[in-house]
Amino acid sequence: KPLFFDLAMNYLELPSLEDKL
Amino acid sequence: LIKAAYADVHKFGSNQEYDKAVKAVNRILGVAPEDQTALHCKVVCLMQLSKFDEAHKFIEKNRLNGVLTFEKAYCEYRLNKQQQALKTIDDGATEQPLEPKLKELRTQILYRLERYEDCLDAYKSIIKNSSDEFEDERRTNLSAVAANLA
Ligand SMILES: [K+]
Repeated sequence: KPLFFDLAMNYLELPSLEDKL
Repeated sequence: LIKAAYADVHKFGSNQEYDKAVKAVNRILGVAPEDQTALHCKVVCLMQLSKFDEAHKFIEKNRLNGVLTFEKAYCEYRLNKQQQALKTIDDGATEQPLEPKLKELRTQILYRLERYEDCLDAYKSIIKNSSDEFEDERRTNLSAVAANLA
């Protein structure tokens, strides 16, 4: 089975907390 | 309380200590259950902890489908519900062309659905239009698609 990377997971991030801190 | 808890979310999130971050988020949701930022944070933390089923249920229960399209579709992708994941993106996307994260995920879903020709076209387009640190991995994925077409 060919190697296949999950690149979408790299886009997962917390929202900006700037106005909450 | 909320400000201190958000400081913890920020600190633990930055350190990738998502189990601690989710506890801080729960403190916020205990007093502000509709806080959209906290709801979003909880989904991301659960996903980082690989709790995709729990994250997916949380999105649906809190009616976040419209705002967290990427997160919902990614959970479905990992739960091996590829047709639903594709539908989530195609129904939920407000921008055309798709924003990069949705396009990347959609392309991976096409691979899992064995729609290799569509997947190949999508990767060619992504590779042409991107310049980030994942170019090599993307070319590896393109090779995998080509191997399945051969
Ligand atoms: K490129």
